[in-house]
Amino acid sequence: MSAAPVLTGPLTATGVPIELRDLSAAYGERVILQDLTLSIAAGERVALVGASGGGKTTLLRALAGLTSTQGTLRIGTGAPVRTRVMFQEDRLLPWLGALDNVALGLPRPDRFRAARALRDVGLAGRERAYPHELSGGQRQRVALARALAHRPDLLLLDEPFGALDALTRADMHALLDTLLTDTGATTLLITHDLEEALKLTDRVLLLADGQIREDLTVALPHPRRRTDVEDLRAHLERLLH
Amino acid sequence: MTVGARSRERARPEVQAAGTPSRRPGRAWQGEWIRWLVPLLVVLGWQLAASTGLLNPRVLPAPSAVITAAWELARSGELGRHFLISLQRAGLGILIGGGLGFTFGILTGTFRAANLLLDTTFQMIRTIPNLALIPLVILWFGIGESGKVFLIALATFFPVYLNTLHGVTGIDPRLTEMARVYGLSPLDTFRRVTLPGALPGVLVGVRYALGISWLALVVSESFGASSGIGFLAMDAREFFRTDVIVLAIVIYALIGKAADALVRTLERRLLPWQVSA
Repeated sequence: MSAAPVLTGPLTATGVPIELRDLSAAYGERVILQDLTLSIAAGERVALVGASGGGKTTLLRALAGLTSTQGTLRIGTGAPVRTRVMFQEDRLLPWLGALDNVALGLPRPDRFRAARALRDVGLAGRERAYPHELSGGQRQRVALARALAHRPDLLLLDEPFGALDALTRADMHALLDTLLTDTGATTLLITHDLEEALKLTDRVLLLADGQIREDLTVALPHPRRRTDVEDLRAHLERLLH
Repeated sequence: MTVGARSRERARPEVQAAGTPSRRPGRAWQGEWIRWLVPLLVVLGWQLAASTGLLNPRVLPAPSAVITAAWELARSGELGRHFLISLQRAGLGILIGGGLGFTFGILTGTFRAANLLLDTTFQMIRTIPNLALIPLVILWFGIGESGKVFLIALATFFPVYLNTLHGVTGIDPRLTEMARVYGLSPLDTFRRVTLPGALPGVLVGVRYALGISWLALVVSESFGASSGIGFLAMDAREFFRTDVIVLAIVIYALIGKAADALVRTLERRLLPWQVSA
């Protein structure tokens, strides 16, 4: 039997599985995550939703290695894992042009991927533009290109479109949906927007008081329209309130 | 793939520099000339007052007399010699003081241990007035060049040190966190994030240092000097040559303005990314 087709384009990557067992985190006295157990398959697209203070960002930071935790946190199968984060703020270096921002941290032989990633996010021709010369949406596109140019095994998206207006947000949803389909990275999206979670990912986790309250599989073909996910959104909203 | 790249996203117009009023196209020259209007009127009024005898030349000589004195000193080569010596002293002092200020600013800004160890000491030394150190400097270095350069280096150290330190500590920690997530080594983070992020602060320090270096130069050339613009003025005082004294003051003013223009050029070249640059 022949092997499954593998995407070999410059921006594709192999996703990694994630295994959390009894994971806990606290800031001083305040418990943020409590005995969290969760398995995410390689290449899976997962959204984390829930009220503020529920532990979403702490979990993402733990996966990025930015927060210390107790318990078991296993990413991948032993080989080095490329984890990249797209933050709520673009976090672009103001003194670098768009292309140099995307190429940040890329080894010299892989720099070609920066131009390709910028083109993929629709910013061909703006390679030399400084962040202050770009709109908010364009800056988030550069940040997305930077994350994808690294061919991450694990892509962490921390409310990446939270600061954008509704129209730009809809554009970014379409763009991200396509790019995530092209890349094989395991993806974790944190969002307050239930529709965003249901349109872009295949599994939605509702996090409350440091624990997973709901694990919802979204078995619908991409791209999804608003009407496709209406019922699921209503279900999640009922759980949230 | 260019999904969603629609024309509704337009680049944000560049924010105008604070305090710079908008100019009408083709009339920019008026804005440039207006800067020099007040100094020009002052010189004209001054010349008029001197020519009509309203001003005693022993108190303040006419601008024409100052120009004549400048011409005579320039022709004899004396002005050039004193000017170059002053420039050399200031340059060397800035190089040493500014270089050390930058180095220690980076160290104390980057490493907490260095900050704890050194910053309090530097802040204490900073409060000592330069003039109070003159007797000690003469004892340490004599009245030669070393003492003068030392005073200038000491004066220029602090503006560069403080502004470099603030430049480094003022960098958005979210950017350094991003650099860590994107796999930059500590050295690369310093090169790509810390140094360019601190550069605006460093240049503010350099601007202050250039200004203060001439102040320190005047102080250092006022004792035991036999050359330099400061000496020229002190020597002229002995002979009641107010024209030469005023000439020395004008030279200080012009050098200060030139130094400021130099830093502005540096800022434009090194900080093209700054919205207000």
